[in-house]
Amino acid sequence: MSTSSTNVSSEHSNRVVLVGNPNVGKTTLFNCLTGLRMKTANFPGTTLDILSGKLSLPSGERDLLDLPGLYALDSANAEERVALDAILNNDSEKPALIILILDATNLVRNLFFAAQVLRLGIPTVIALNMVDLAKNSGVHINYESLESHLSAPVIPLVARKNTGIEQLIDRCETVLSENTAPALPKLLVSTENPDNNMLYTWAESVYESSVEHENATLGRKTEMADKFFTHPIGGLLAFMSVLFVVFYLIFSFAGIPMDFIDGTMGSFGEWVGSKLPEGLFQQLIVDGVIAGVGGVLIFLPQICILFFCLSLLEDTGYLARAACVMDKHLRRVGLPGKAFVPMLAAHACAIPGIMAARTIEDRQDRLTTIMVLPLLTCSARLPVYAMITALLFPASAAKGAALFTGAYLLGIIAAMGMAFLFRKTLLKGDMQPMMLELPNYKVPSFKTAFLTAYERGKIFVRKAGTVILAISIVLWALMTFPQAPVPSEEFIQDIPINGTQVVQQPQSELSYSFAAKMGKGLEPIIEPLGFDWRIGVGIVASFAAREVVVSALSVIFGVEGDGDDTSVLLDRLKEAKRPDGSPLFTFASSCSLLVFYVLAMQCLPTQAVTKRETGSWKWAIFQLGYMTVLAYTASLVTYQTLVALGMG
Amino acid sequence: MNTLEIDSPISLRDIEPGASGRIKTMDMPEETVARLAGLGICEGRNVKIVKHGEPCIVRTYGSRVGIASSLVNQIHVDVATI
Repeated sequence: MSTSSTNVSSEHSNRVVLVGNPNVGKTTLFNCLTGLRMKTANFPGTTLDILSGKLSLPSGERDLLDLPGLYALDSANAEERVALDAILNNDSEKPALIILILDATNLVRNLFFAAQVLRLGIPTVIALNMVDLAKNSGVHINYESLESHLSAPVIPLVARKNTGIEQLIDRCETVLSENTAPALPKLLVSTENPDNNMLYTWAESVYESSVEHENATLGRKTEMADKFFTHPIGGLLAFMSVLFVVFYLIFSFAGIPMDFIDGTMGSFGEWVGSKLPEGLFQQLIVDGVIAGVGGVLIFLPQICILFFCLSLLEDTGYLARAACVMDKHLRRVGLPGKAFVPMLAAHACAIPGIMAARTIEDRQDRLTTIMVLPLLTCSARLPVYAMITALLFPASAAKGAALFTGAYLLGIIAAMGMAFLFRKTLLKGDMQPMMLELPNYKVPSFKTAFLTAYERGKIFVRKAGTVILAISIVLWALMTFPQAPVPSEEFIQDIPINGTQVVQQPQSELSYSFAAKMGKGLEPIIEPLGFDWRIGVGIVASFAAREVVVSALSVIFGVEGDGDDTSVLLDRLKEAKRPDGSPLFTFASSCSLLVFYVLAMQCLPTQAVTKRETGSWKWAIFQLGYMTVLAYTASLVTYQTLVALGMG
Repeated sequence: MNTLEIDSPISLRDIEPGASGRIKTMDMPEETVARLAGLGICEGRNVKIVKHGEPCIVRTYGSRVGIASSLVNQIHVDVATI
């Protein structure tokens, strides 16, 4: 069945490449082989991030590259093709070895892909994954027979349980030392360019002679589960429930590490502050640098938990069903089903969401998705939502939850609406029809989920963290300079507490800063939204990072200390008065502020990522522009309507 | 089990859920044909309709594929009946 082996000239290459279909446990295997020692490798001409790690072999370390999951080598999209060409068809550095991962539970289709890969003529070891699932469902594979048909070593393994990995490493070592290309199966060499039909015929014949199945039950449970999960209504309900659970996890678990980070950075700042001589330098380090680093790290728990959950969901096979159910609805507004994962990710942070939009092949589809992603409620909006909820409904958890849900829904509806508008105007074009595999359901790998969360966290700190840090230093300067003169009576303001007692409260130094001047300048523009200059300062201060508004308001409303004491802040906000003596934070103005923060861009790091992913500042500026106009208009309508209804 | 081949291929859209057919022609851009082939939907292969709708779910080998009904309309099959 096979022709003779040929020696290939790739002695100098140190590269080992992992290839396979999506949903076959490729990432799990990659993690088994490399552990935590991975980084992203970039190739010129593509923005695709290829994971790269170190594969430890007895003869030394090799670079292991994780190619994007592909169903066929000739069906890669434009960006994947660049990566493929750079890695597989690169004459100057051909890979020394391909580790081809195949799914034992879906062998024929995987053999079709194997045929394409074997034809590359690069030494190949086949990692046959999920052999436990295949066996349990009555599929018995004769590995020796398979090996002889494929003319390449076949290692049965269960990557999820870490079994078979050592044997795989041993065989990789052997094949690398022999450095021989796989002898192509006859059928595959006899024709110059076998068509897909021929490759499938070959795959079927290999399957028939290597596999026995007794009453195979594979996929039966999946099919039953799918009756529900892909049902137009049941599936939608399931999707909502899954979203609820994911967000519940984020809310209940992220708070603990977030409080820890907050507390630690706060104490650290105080400690450093006490060691440094008082003055501008001390303020820069404590309020600029340390607070900025804290402002980056505070996102990590939510980002990590979200990607942990996403990884588990993807691994179980559920995400494909969700995309399937959502495709119909997303398509109506001009978004592809694949936009659903970026949209889910954008609920933690628009930055990983925009990065995840890379999986969308069509440029128009991708641009539309990227443009609307920042409208979805990211975790940085939560402090603002929490503040307004506590302000409006301090005693009612149910009303608070309703307000939160409303804010999330507003973001989703706005994103859909804008996507629809963009598809009709700026980004016209035919959409790619949907084609999506619905893999068998399986138990997810927690290790993979953990590593995914770790890797996403790392990317966030490296790519967005530096920008956020720089911006917080700039903002610190805006809010510090010019400095206040010696305190005078003019800036002492009366603030009534408990209705009767009146204490003298000096206005903070912030009132002298550039930020305050900008806030005051904004007042006539934002007055119709129910805001005054103090909220204006909050908006200016949070221009680059929306969550800053809470601490900015703390400073503006003269809350002592580091601005973390939320209950004091809430009291101050409730007591805040307009010049005519009416309360500043009424139901109408609070709702208006909430609507503004749901829809406004207020995030420079996101814009930096939009620029990077779209390749031009044009789209980033457009995004800022349309979101600001949208937020302003919606807040205006909200405030004026509520006031007209007598709820002001 | 007798297999009866019907002369003229019919559109996959006209296949009842649970029934299957062998793909005869796929009338769509080359790029789409290549992508579907990777998913197991390829000329000469058997596919079974799991459910119609948007998307339509097709069973092929060990997995199911959700595909747009507009594509399903363009796939023509020979029906194998018992």
